[in-house]
Amino acid sequence: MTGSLPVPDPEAVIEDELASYRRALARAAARVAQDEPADPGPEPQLPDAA
Amino acid sequence: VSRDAVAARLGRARALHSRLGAFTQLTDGRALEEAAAVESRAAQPRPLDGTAIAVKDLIDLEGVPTRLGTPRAGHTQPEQDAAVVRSAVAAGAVVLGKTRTHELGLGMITPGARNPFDVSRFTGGSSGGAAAAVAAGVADSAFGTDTAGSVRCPAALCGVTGFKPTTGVLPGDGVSSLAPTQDTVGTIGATVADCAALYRAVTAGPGEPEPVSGGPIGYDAAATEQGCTPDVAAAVRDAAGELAAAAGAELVEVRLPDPALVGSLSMVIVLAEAARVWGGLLERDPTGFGPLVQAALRAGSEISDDVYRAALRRRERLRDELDELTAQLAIVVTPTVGVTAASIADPATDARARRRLEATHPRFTALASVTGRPAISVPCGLDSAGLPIGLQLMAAEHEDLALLGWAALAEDGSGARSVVSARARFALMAASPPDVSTKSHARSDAT
Repeated sequence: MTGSLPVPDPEAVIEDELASYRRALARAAARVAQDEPADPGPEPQLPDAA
Repeated sequence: VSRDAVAARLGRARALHSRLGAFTQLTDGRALEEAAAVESRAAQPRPLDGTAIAVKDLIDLEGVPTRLGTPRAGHTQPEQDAAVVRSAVAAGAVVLGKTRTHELGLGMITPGARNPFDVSRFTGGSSGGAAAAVAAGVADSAFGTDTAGSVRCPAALCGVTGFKPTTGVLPGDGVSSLAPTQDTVGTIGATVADCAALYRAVTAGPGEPEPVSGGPIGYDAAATEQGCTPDVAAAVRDAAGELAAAAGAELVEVRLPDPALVGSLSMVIVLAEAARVWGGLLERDPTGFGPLVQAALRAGSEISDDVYRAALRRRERLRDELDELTAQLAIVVTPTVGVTAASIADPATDARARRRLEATHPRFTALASVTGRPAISVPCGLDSAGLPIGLQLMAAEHEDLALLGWAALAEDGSGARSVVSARARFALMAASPPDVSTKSHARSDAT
């Protein structure tokens, strides 16, 4: 046996990472919403997409 | 500076390439031409004459491919230098080449770049190649970009100075975008004066760091103790106290905004905006990006407009809250990063270890990015393994010159001097045999 590491399947890496991002973003969105005032004020202008 | 001196810097960059991976491309031809131009007008000196600079590979250089750290996506062949580079060269700087970046600037590790203090460790990111090039004495200073800490984090972990000016002060023409409302061009230098000189060349304003006066200095002791290893907390605590004593200023305890809130805002805003910037290209050519960035951009595209708008609204309130909290303070000091440079082996093989690093590194830097404030990291000590620790100073918006003045005082501290002494040994760092794992990244001259 040699000590070379297995090469991860890119699709599996993407799915695993995407699932992690989804969990983190759900927590982040909940934290942002946590202290949203009843009247959030005027809608912010969204930057233009590139 | 002489052409010989520039040739020596280029030779050193090549000799160290297999150990540090700091550069992705050297620009010998233009560097030697620029050095010759400096020599030929020696009677009319300019402020940056002969300053050897490096440029992160998110920032355009004429005729040199901008590759953004991606496998293929977004590569361009610029027809002119980015605005910040044009200003620096007009002031006499000599461009050595392009430095390694974390892909799109979206990450805090910079795979492929290695820390001069210990080449088995990361530089931090995303401007990791630039920080390594300066720390190793190849470049005097460098341009990087900072969206959540990407100039300050690698500067701290590599024992050099990293300055993020007030967002929008330095022009972004010719600089790749990640999150347009937070992107900032920044400078990395061996000293505060090096960072200030590049900044001054671009802003063309008065530019001298202002003498320190008054105070008080804000310091969140609880956040420092909770968010840092014991070595980092102790070095930052000592440096803050030393700075206050040197300035004759009072050190005032403050409670900074919750890092979990700041991190959440930064994550939502950066990923949502990155998906807007890069989503079209992702659809057309997904494998042009690495797998981790594909996942990040896909996640960003799933953020609803409602969630993104809520984050923008909360960011505005956070700015107001921070203004109120710091209204009576000259500056706020914090750690730059709560840990020192991590071993490359762990995150390379363990996704959880990598994600933990990505979450830990911007804990203290994201606040200035989210609020647009200027902030700078200066060395403030070494941990028990001899790895550098950074002290972050943050001022109010557009108080950049005052901030530089405070930073110049902080770099006179005893901890900072210990890092400079440790860095001096890199002058002896010699070439090693070619390293097969990084050799494929080596490119010689574009010109």
